[in-house]
Amino acid sequence: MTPFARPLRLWVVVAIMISATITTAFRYSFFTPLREARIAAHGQVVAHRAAAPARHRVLVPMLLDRPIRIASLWWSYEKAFERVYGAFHLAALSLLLIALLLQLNVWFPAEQAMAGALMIASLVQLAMRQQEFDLSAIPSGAVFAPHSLLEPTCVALTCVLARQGSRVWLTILVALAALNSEASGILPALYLAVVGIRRSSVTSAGWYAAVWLTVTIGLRLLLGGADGIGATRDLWRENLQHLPLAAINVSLYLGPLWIAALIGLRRAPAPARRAAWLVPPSLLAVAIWGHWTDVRLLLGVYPLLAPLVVAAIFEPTRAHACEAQILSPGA
Amino acid sequence: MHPSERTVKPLALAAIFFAVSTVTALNYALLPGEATLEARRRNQEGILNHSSPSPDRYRFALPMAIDGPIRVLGRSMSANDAFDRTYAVFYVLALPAFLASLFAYARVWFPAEPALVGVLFVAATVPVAMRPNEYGPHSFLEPTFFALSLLCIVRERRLWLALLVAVAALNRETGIFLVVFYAVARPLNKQRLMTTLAYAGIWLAVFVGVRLYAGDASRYWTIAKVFNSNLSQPWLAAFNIAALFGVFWWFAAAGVRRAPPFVQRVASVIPAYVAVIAVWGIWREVRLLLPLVPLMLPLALSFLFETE
Repeated sequence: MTPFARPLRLWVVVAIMISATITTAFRYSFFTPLREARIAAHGQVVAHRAAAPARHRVLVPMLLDRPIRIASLWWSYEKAFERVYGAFHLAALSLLLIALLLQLNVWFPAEQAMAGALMIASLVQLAMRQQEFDLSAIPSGAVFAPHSLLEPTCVALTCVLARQGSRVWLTILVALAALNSEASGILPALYLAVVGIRRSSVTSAGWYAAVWLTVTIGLRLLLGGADGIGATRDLWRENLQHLPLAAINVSLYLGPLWIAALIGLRRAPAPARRAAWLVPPSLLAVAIWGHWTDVRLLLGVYPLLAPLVVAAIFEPTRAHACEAQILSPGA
Repeated sequence: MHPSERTVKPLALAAIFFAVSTVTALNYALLPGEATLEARRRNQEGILNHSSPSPDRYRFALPMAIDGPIRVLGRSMSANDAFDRTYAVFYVLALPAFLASLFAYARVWFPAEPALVGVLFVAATVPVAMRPNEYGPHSFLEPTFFALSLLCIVRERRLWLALLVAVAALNRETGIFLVVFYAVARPLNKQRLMTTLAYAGIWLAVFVGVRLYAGDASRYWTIAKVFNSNLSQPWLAAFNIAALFGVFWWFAAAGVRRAPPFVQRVASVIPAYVAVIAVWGIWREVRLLLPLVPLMLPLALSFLFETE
């Protein structure tokens, strides 16, 4: 049962999500003083000369390189680069919200799912802050990170596909996510969390892990370059120096909704609660290998926390799954 | 449980409104760069010592109210830091207040969840109103006054509306629109006409009073200057206006017929407000359009959702 005046058409959802992200995408794409750094980083990934792990995050740069070259027939390369990436950022952020909406609608009624996705739409701008100001979240070495915008989408879509039992699509998603970034290693475990541990689901998770491992190792064999862990000590020293800023950014990442997420640990549907167990390892990975001020690295955690937040905020209802799905069949 | 029976607890609403607006508020308050922050400090100083040109000179109520905390804070830190941090607190409070008032008004017509969806959509698009980063703190109270005044009119709270008219007129001269809302919200009879004239009298008293208090001032932004400025960056203005409400502009237009009669009637003020901004406002500064949000949102939600 839903108060929507009519079934939500796909174009309505897409239009709402584009509207909700356009300012953040525009600002992230065009109001950056680091365009040259992005162009250089993109070029290095495409030429397979970037340092690991950036070298192995090939999906977006390889996908966008041809459109940039075509667009540069009309505009200067810099403009073409900026505009193609601008379109990508807008598409990726909108896709993130749409995927989140679909994921939340697995467990919650349509309007609650929409509210959850729109909450993230406002929060996400924190992670997209960059070097324009002194409280920037993104360190200069990580200004080129298009893969980060796809990570949460992969997490949300894994939940949806796992619930639907779409093995083929999930296999494709895991392979693409592995091409996107190594953080996708979480997806087989997420699949298992969503569907629950059974003999068949463990076998399927093993298959997804094998796909992920094959692509990940294949990329490293093909492109060379070892993932750098030598600088971890320097990174820690830097992290400890910026501890207050990191604390501010992490607290703003969900704001008071951190408390809602904790409350939601009790109320959320069982699969969402199990998926939430992947939050601590994700945070630990960022704590060890990431810049703590850079909450962009936590974007992939939003789809794990959003169901908890929604469950805490809204009064629990019976038979969420029976309520109207967000997209009408004719959409 | 029927959707219209589902509620959201006030504490949860407060958490949501603070969560979704704090980053926007802090970005605007602290991160526009030193040159802009310095310009804001100079603006405030000019308003307080009555040297600013019109109409800023007459919008002194809010700067005056905020000056006290700035002075108190200034005892323990530099004047600049005190200014920046006090205003940061103001913005961090003003934006959730706006969202809360908008929710309260939308809730009159829609169940809690659709109203929340609408407000969260506004929260997601409002950052475009915070660019460019000029000094305009009164703009972040205006939409709250507009939403609260509509609530007062719906609920027939005439004394509260009188108080709101006075405060809104002190904040900015657009407070006159609160009087117009009252006039158009329901068919005019003799009693409503008298009440409308009383509200207009309150507004006029404040309008004239602040001018007598702050003294005569010349205008920096003449209509010719405003017009030239607007024609210099039409695409930026078009983008900002489109981004402010996004596809909800379309939904609002499409939802007019389905909207409750009260919402339809007060929406008739939109063209007049837009005309005022078109003539006297800088088009790319879409914070000037924020007061339209309480008028537009119920129209847009009427397209998407069933009303209660």
